[in-house]
Amino acid sequence: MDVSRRDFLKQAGVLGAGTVASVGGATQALASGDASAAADSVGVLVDLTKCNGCRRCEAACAQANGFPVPADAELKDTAVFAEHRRPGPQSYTTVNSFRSAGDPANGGGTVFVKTNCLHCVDPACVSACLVRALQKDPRGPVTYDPWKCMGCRYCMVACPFQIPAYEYDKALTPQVRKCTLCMNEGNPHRGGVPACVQACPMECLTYGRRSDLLAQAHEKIKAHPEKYIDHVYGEHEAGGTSWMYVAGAPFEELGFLNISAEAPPRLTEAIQHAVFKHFVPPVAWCAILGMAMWLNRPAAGPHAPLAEAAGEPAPDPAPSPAEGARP
Amino acid sequence: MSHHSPTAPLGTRMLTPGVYALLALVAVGLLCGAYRFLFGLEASTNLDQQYPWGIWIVADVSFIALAAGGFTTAAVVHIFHRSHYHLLARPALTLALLGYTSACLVLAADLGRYYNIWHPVLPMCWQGNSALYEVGMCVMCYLIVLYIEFLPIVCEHFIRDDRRPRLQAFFTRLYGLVGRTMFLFIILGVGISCLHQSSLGNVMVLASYKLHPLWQTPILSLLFLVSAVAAGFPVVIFMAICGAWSLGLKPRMHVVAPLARHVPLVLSIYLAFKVGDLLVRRSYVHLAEATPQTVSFLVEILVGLAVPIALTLSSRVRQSPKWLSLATALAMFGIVLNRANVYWIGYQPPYTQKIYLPSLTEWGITIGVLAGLLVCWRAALVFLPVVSLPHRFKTA
Repeated sequence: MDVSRRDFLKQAGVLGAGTVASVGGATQALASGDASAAADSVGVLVDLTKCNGCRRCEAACAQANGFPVPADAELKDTAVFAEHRRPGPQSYTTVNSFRSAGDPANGGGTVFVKTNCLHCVDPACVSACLVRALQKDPRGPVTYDPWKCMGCRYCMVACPFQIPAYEYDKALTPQVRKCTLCMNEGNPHRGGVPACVQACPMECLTYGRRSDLLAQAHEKIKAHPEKYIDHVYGEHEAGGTSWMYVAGAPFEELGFLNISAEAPPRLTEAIQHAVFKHFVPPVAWCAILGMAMWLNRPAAGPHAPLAEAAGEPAPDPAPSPAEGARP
Repeated sequence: MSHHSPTAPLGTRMLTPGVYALLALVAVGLLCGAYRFLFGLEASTNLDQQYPWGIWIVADVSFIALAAGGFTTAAVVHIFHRSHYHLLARPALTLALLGYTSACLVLAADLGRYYNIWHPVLPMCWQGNSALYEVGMCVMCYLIVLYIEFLPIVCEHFIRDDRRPRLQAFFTRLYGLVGRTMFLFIILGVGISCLHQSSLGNVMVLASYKLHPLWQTPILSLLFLVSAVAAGFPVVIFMAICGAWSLGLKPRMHVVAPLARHVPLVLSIYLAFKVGDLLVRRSYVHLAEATPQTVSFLVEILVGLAVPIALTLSSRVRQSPKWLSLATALAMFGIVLNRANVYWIGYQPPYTQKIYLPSLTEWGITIGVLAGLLVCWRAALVFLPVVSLPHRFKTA
């Protein structure tokens, strides 16, 4: 692939982020809810007013991840837009078509929407995963380690965007499948510009530092208030996402979910950590139970509580089998 | 020292027509299990990208909720030393042990990579942010505690066997060791139970808006804990009455009826929490909607809570084995329906193509494991010293 001017600009734009990416050779675990790394982490800004529904991002994604790649003729077939396709175990991203009430000249009419993992800043799937198979890479992406995974699918229950997909058809080694921002092992784009971003001919996708992208998004909206609605989807949704959108039509009309700004893990982790704070509450609870046991000990012999706890005292001659009830 | 009657194997006939029927269900369950492990989840379940959790998860959390009879009885008998209920302790412990074992079996079928079920113990996998991690660790620990608490029963079995003197000597020593440390395991068992029963509620809090607002509440973990405690007595009472019937014994109402007096109290506390939560969050507005969720919620509250409370308030009901078994069965139904509502019926993913209903294989494994639990429980009572049987209650 020759490096076009567009690609070059994209590369240049993420130079800083790329440096960050290359520094962390090994994936480091980021404590869930640690927002400090979010400023430097990378993401993608999607300008939905530019997407023409060519689905080359889908093809590039399939290529990068080793899925069946749709042929050119297939990509030109608009029949796929008849239904809204969700990302699945064999496709990390899908482009769907929506009808918006607005003026086609100003982002209304037919709008194409690319759907994939939004790589939340504070991901519910990462908080859910009980074996750390899903992790928030400090560089931005939410990655998956199939070796650790036990296949409980709690990540799918937790995800507010309903993204992770499961390989139900595999009997022995099923995996949770979702976009990794091309950070999965064996991906030719690993550590660089994601395949979909590189493939987009409409400059609809911009890869870069999340903070830069946010500034860029707000500049766009400020410069063209007639073209964009004043909402960057992903700035606050579910505590913020690395993958963000600007659009010319209200997001509700484009199939986006109205998600509250609080990241779901904030509540559950607050509860979980309150109950287990320095292990004091569980130990205190057991101590209270022990106290209750001691205070309620029967007045009988000194060994009574222990012997009773174990059932009947050992030295007692066991009842002969004849004593057992036989009908 | 004991003023309690000694426990002994019942020695009743093990294989009755009912047991044969249960064994047939176990066989069907084994076939379904083989099918699931050979051909995978897609072939054997109706789970999909919208509904990653189904009837197996409901079965897991229901087994665990109903096994709460084990830790509530342990608390009553061994911590508060209400020795009147002593003879319920071992059957309840046995039932709890089988309940948790059943939950683990069903879970193994549900996990896509079941061979990684032990991963939470690996330091590289420790994840204290996840409520499910806490549940996993606690269930593992509690399972060990339950088997240790069960050891005295096994020991007594071998101690009574004079034909094998060396085994007898070994188990006599083990019996002494376990007896001296048992108080620790009793405390641990009750403590751990409270922790993970509540965490099972917090698991679904993370599902945020996907769980219907009738059930989604920040205090879901508290509700799960209170409901598990509330389930404990009804389970033990139901077990005592129906267990006695199935073994051809008279239900010992002089023990069960006084315990039943506490049932309306614990169920009312749980009901108060439920109603209070409904009022504080103003989620009662959803009761006006004609949805399956609303119906299921009302059935849970009315049939599964209000009716058993009303029934057990009557002393005539508490004295009648038939009525009391009905009332406690309804209470158990209410708790199981609550777990089904939170983990299945109330779970509403935003992009839904079709509603999840369990497949035949999913039912087969669930029912097979339940049937296996009942057979094992009967076997434990028949062959091991679990039940203490005064002479006057020998036969029905």
